[in-house]
Parts: sequence; C-alpha cells; structure tokens
Amino acid sequence: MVDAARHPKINLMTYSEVKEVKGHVGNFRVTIEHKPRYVTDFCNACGDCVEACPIKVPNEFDEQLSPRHAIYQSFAQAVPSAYVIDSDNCIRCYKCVDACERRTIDFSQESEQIELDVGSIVMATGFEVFNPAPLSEYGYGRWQNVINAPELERLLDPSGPTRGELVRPSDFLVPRQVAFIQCAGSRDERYNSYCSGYCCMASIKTALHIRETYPEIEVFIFYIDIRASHKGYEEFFRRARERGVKFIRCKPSEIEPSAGHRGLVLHGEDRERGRPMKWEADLVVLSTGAVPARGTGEMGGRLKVSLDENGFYREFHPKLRPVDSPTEGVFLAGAACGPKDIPYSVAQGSAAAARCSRILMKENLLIEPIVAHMLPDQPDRCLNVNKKCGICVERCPFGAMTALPGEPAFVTEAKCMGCGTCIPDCPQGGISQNHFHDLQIYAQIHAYLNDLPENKILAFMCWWCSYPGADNAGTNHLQYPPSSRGIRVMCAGRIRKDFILEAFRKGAGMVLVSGCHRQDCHYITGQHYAERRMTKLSKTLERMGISAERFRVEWISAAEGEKYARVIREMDQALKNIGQKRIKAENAKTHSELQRCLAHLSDLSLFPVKTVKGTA
Amino acid sequence: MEQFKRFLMEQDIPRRVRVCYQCGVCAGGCPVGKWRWDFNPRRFIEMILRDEIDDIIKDDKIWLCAACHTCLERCPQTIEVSEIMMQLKNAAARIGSIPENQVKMGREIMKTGWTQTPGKRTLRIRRELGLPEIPRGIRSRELRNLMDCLGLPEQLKRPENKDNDGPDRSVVNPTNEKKEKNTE
Amino acid sequence: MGEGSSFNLYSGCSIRTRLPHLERTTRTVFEKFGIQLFELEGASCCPEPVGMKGLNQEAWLTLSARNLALAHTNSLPLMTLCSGCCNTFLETEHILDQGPSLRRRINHTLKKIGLQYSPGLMVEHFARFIFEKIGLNRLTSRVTDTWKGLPVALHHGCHFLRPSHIIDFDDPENPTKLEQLISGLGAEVVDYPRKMLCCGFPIQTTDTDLSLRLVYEKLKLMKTYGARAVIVLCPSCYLQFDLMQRSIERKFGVSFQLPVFYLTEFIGLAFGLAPSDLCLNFHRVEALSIVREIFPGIDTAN
Repeated sequence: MVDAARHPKINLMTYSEVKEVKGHVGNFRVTIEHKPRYVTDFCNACGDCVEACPIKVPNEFDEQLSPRHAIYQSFAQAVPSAYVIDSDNCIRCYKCVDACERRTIDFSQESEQIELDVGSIVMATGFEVFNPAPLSEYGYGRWQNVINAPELERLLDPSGPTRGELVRPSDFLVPRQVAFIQCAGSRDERYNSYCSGYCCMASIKTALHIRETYPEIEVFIFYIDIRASHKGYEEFFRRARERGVKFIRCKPSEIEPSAGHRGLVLHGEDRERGRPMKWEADLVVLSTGAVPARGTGEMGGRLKVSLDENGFYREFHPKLRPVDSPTEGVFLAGAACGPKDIPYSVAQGSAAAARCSRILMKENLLIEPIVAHMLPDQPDRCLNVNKKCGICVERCPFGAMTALPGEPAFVTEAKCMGCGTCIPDCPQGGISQNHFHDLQIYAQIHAYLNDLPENKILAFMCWWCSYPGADNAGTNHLQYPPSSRGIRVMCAGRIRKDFILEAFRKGAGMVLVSGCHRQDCHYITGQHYAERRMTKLSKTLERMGISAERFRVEWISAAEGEKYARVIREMDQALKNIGQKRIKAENAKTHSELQRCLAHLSDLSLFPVKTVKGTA
Repeated sequence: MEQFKRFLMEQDIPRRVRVCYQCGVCAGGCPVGKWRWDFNPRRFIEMILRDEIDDIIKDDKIWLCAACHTCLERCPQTIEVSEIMMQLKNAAARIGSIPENQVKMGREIMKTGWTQTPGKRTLRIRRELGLPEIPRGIRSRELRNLMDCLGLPEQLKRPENKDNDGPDRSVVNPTNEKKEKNTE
Repeated sequence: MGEGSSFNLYSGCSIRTRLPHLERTTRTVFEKFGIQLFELEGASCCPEPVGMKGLNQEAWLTLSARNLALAHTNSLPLMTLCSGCCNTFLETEHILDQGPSLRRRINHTLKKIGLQYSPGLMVEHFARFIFEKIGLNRLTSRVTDTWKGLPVALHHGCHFLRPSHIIDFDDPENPTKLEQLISGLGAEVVDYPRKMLCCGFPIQTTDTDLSLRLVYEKLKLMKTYGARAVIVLCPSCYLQFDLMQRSIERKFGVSFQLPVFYLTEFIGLAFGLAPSDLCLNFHRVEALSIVREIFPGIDTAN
C-alpha cells in the first residue's frame, strides 16, 4: 500500500467518492468529491488529538468490537497515515485543536470537487461480509458469543481490540471450544444461493492458527463440503487435520445457549454417526460469504456497468473477457465482480491493468462501424424535446444513448455496441443502425419472398448465437429442408414487429425469430426486449388470423446446431400440414389489415413495391 | 413397490428432492428425530434420491412425522421436507400401509365428518356455559358422496391395514438426561 | 376491521368435544370488543392437518375447500380458534391458488354436493387477529389489573407461524409479536431455549412415549428458565400441556404444576373477568391459586 502511495505515477485519493462519470472509452471525465478530513498534511501522527477527544464511537475497522474517537486514524498501518475527523459524531468542542501542537486541525476545510480526464477505469470496489442476523436459528445478534468471521479475525489480530488474545465477547474468558459453521447464509436459497469460495480456506486458516496458538482449545469446523481447490489448498486442509482441527460433516440446525453452562449448544445431525447430536462450544463463528460492497449498485448506475443476479458487477463474458465490464474502457477486478480470494483478486488486478494499458497506449481506438445513428430529421421529431421520452436510454445497457431534458436524444458512438435494441421501441422511428438499416432488412425480406413465398420459412437470426447455430448445423451435416431463408441481425433486439408483418404481407409461409438464450445475450438485455416484443406480436398475429404455427420464436445457442435443424424440420412439416391453400387463404384475409399496419412504410423509398408475379 | 413409486412420480417427488445436498439441517432440528434415531428426515430424502423405495415405508417410520415444519423452514435448498413426508404418507396409504390409529381417525371422519363428536356430558356443559347449540354438521349422504369420489372407503378397507400397529412404540435410544459430550 | 366485526366461528373438533371452556372464554373476551361470532352450519372437521392430510391429501383439500365454500356463502370472514384448523385453511387457499387444475378438479367434486370453492375468503387466527386487528393499545386500554410481572412461557406451537411462506406473520425461529401483547398485559415473557420446539401432540397415538417426552422437555426448559405459567394459542397444545402433566408425573416423577392458559383466558383475567366466567375450574392443572395470587381482589367463587 505504501509503495502504491509513493509511486510518482500513482495519485492515491482517499476519502474521495466518484460522483459522476461522463464520456466514453479513452475520454472519460470523472468528477470526484474529496471530502474534508479537517486535518491538514502537516500532521505528524503524534496522536495528542485523539487523547483529547471526548467522543467514543464503535470502531468499524475492529468490527465494532472496540471504540474509537471522533478524530482518529483508521488503523495503525493506514495509508496515507492520516488522521480524520468523523463529522457525523464530532461535537466541535475543539479540544483537539487545543491539543495539537502543530496546529494542523482545520475545521474550515470543505469538500473539493476534482475533475479528471482518464482513458480507462477499473472498478475494484470489493465486497462486504454477509450479515447473518436473518438466520434466527443461529442467534447472531441474540447470543453474544455467536460471532462472524471478520470479528474473529480482529480478536486474533495482535493489533486488534484484545491485542491478539482470543476471548469471548461476553465475559472475556478464553474459550474452551470454538466451532466454525460453514455456509451460514451461503448455498442457501433463502439468502445467497452462491458459494463464495474463500470461506472454507479462511476458516481452516484461522482454525489452524487457533490450534497453533492455543493447543488446549478444541476447534471444530462444521461443513457441508470443504472447498479447497487451488494450489496448496488441499495440502493446507490436510495440515489442519494433522494439527487436530476437527471436521464434522454437519450443517447445524440451531444454536441455543446452554442451560447451566457458560457456552452454546449446537444441534445437528452427525452424518458420520447418522444420528442427531448436541455439541458444546464456548464460541461459535459463522463463516458467511461475500455480498457486494455497499454502493456497488449505485456506482454501477453511474458508470452504466450492469450487475449480475447477485448484485456483483457483470463481466462482459465470464470466460473470455473476465475483467472487462460490458462498457468499453471500464474494467473490473477483484471481489467486486464476484467473491474470490487473494491470489485470484491480485491476478485480476494485473489483468485489468493490462487491459487498461491496451487503451492508453494508443492514439486512436478502432471501434466497430455497426453503431446506431440518428436519422437526419430525428432532432425535429424526437419526442424528448417537448415531452420527456428517454425510451432509447432505457433500452441501452451500455449508456450509449443520452436524452437530456428538452434536447433530442443522441448516440455516443464510442459506447454503442451495435445491438440495435433501441431502434424498435423509438416511438418516432428516429434511430437506425449502420449496415443494419431498416431499408436493408426490408430489401432482404423482399428478395427472399419475391418468388413462391408461401413455401418459405423466413428466419431472423442473431449474429452471436443463432446464426452460428445454423452454421453449426451445416458444418455437422445435420439435414434440414431447404425451405428456410436466413436474415442476420446483430441481436434479436434489433427486430421490429414490422419486419415480421411485412414478411407475412409478402406472403411468407412461416417466420422464425431466433436469438440467444436469456443468460447468453451478448448485449445483456437485447434478448429480454426481443422476447417481450415477440410475445406481444404473436398474440397480434393470431388475432389477425395468421395460424399460431406460422410464427415461431426459439432461443438457440451457437452449439445447438441440432436444435436449429430440428426447428426448421418441424416448421417445414407444419408448413406442409397447414398446406398452401390455407396459407394463401390466410394471407389473402390478412392482407388489407397488414397493408394498413404498414402504411407508414410507404414513406421509405422501397415502397410501394413493384409487383412481381405470385406476390400480392 | 412399483405402485408406491408411481404415486411418488404423480406428485413429482423425485424431481422435487433432487437439489438436496444432504446437509442434515432437517435431521438436526427434527423434534422426533432427536429422541428417535430411527426417524431421520434426511435419510428419507436420501432413500428417494437413491431409489431405495422399499426402505421408505419399512416399519411405518414415516408416520412418526409430526408435521411441525421445522425442516421446511430451515432447508437451505428450500425443499419442502415436511410436505414431502406428507406425500410419502399419502403414497403409503394408497398401497395400504397405514397404521391402525390413522385408519381409526380416517374412519371416524368418514362416518361423522369429525375426528371426535361431543357426547351428552359435553353438550350439557355447553348449555350450562351459555354457548349456542352446535349446528348440524355435514350431512352423512353428502359426506358419503365425497368420500366415495375420493376413494377413501376403499383405501381404509384394505386387508394390509389389519394388525398394523404402526411404528415400534419404544423409544429407540435411551434417555438423553446425561449431557451429550462430543467424544473422540 | 377489528372491533365490532362479525365472523363465522370455526372452533374445531377439540374445542367442541373436549374444551368448551376455551370457546366460552373467547366469546366472553370478544364480546368486550363487540365482535360477533356465528356458528358455521354444515361444517365438518377442517380436516386435521397431520393425520388426515397424511392419509389422503386430496380428500383433505376437498373437505377443507368445502368448509371454506360454506363460509363464503354468507360472506363473513372465518375466525378460527385452533392453529391446526387455521393452518389447514390457509394452506388449502395457498395450494389451490397455485394449482388451477387441482382447483378445477376439487370444484368438480364439490359441484356434486352443490358447492364451489372460490378464493378470497379471509381466514383469521384469533391470536393473530387480536395482535393485528385489535392491536396492543386497544387491548391494554381494557386492562383493569395487570399480571404484575408474572414470568410466563409462551408456546407458539408449530402451526401458528409455520410454514412461514404461507402464513408470514412473524419470524418462525424467533418471534416477538405476541410477546409484545403479553408484556402489554403486564406479564414477563420468559425467553427459554427451543421455544419453537413441537409440543408432541400430533404423534400422541403414533408414539405415546415420545409425545410425552417432548412435552416433558418443553415444560422442563420452561420451568428451568423461571416460568410460572404457560400460554398456548391452540387447543391441541393446550391438551398436551394441561392434560399430560399428570402422566409426566407418573412417568418421570416430576411435578411441574405449571398452569396452562389459553391466550383469551390470560387476556380475560387481565380484563377483570371472574374465573367462573372463564371456567378456569375446567383446567386439569390447577390455575386458581396463581390467579388468586396475582389478582387478590378477584372473585374466585365457582
């Protein structure tokens, strides 16, 4: 930490908060609020002010196990070695001012706003430990001697509240038995369904430490499974067993205070014995997992970094780009994107730094050309000018769309990933996408359906999953009938309902819309909007009189060539079952309504269509 | 046994218990299991997972479940353990493996619509206490109709039920008065 | 919705057959709040949520849905005096709500007897009703003499709070709501370990020894932690705690002498009602002496 603070090219800003981030990769403008410490840099850390301060509050660093004063240093090895005044609790008695010989205390300090221009950002906001109070069966918060892992770490730390002596919070006596309960609130559908991965090793480490320091204390670890998967971990686990840490395969059902004994009683089923048992322990440690640090969601909102279902930052791709956030130029490292231990976090830190330098080394960044753009007359038409709209802003998970009050919306190309999800929901139709313009797609629809459309299955496929899925079918020589014609879009979110309506207006036999599975969507939320739109559309089509089998929506991954082939086979069979006669009849019946729905397309130069034999 | 298995499948029991990772929280908190080591809810789930179907209704142990729902509350995989136990009882009842005391209750409900009905003394006391007359209950024809629809008379008439005393009455493990100390 | 409201009363098998004094007590206390209780005609056993449910769950659901359908016909909400009955009704509503095809099947059966189940009937447990709808303030305003710090053990029982995803009233491991009510009446609620442990009533006929063992363990803990009386919310728990103390004496040689109060009895005494109004003489474990001790002026003549 000291090295980082001293490095000439590192500016360590503590007690500061990122308030706003504008701009895009390579050119971020970050507004930071540096909060006042009320102590100047002239401070030599003598500590006289602390002795003079009359206020005592619980010390967060010591997990509330010891007090600190309103003027304090976070912990002895803090970097920078600064004192700070906690203005929430300070009563402005000025005793510290009187005590300070160097006159470094300055209550006139104010928050400073600092603006920084940066090329890339790394989010390494870390984690917090899950608070096990909701698990009433374990009594955390009710029984004093049920503590959690960080509290135990503080008790054992030589610079901690008890100078490293392990004592029970209730009576300060050294415990005779210490029991660790693993998976408290983890792997638990009621609280956190995930496994945090580090808690087994953390408990084993602490248990071993206790055994080595206090050989007379019995140490038990109650577990469901022990996760010791990385280098040296299994060997360490063995060492713990060699040193007499007792491992009991049991998740205790409840903890209660012992009647007539100073300790606690754990009730559980001893799996090895196959029957319920009671265990006594003077001190119980709940080994809880990691949850996202407070403010993770808020910070994610400021930088437009999406969260996963557990509230951790979402990686661009969990395997292939594990330190990239979905937003270009913003990277992730450490537990902020998922619970992990020290070696893994350090590795991610190095990786994120490398990813940053990739950007900083260049003069120019090459981006994909398939970005969204506003149509030329959009500024006049944009609803956001007179009313508040902002639908496109909501659709974009990358923050590429901006709609300031009273102004037309605009695209920041450097942030646009090219999914096209913003396009279908714009009420004014004011957005388009380079190389995936509506005209281009209509042209493809018309070309395919020019001849004998009633025999054809028009398939819309997304670039990342279903199109390679179809390819997969091809390369594996999986047979399917030749009735399908594919139109590629970057994401199923690009697909307007008008494309499908137009396809049916042109007489298509069947239409397939396919994309990624929900959790695989390359653009995070594109599939979600696509599914929503297509569900609504299928109801509309049925009401209009198009048989339900003629419109199908399937989510097909790149590896599911088999599924693609099967779907086309099924649709082809259904097409034959319905029969040309009925299809033509339905098309004829719905034609006028479809014409009405698509009347606005006559604005586009593609319409009215030149009729070719066989089409309406 | 095949029939028993089929009844379990009807209620989708094998799928509902699949996520169990055998942590034993259910067994650890079970009031019955605490004093009768031969009753272990985790073991019942394990039997379903391992397809050891015969063992489930052996010795009628499932009827010991008091449906206190402690296991259901504490299961970290949110498996409704006490409801699974209830379905095991149902399936056992369908193949005729019901202890006598349960049959008695079922028969009483089938006959009168209640588990017990007040006798003359109670009715007198009610009058003395100023309580209103107990109104007519379910008509016996209606009750009969319902019970027939649901197959209850058939179920309770099975010959297998005779001499079914239910689970062994004696408490399996001796008194727990002595403090349980963790040994070795 | 609290004072002055009317309900269909569902007292259940136990109270009707063995414990008429608990119905008397509840009616007397509810009268103080202007609450009217009408007997539900044509009802059957709820049915019992452990034995009967285990025999045939569909029959259990059908009979339960039938009772709910009956109550629905006169548009009054249902007031239950037993945690088991309340649990049955709430679970039935939940299961039929989640399973439309099951609901259709049961309604098909009920049609044969001219009834249909439809959701939306309000089912109240008397204790929860007192806490939520009458409320602590209105309750304590009627108190004429408090319980003067008597240490009591509250036994919630299993079916009052669990399954919590259906009932959702209080923390099933460490409830605090009814404790507030009882403290409001001036008693001191003793915190004893395993307070949510089952009393053992449902397995009384399946394993009598074990059933007795469970209630013995509970009474032992209550006594060790200083309780001088037990409060219950359910007639089954009431039977288990009140009736079994003699058997416990015979089997374990311990005489607890802990009087057992049904919640409305406990409330009624604080309202200044005479023991004869509350029929305390029906208690197996003698309760009058503690009443005389706490309420010296009270008329304990029979």
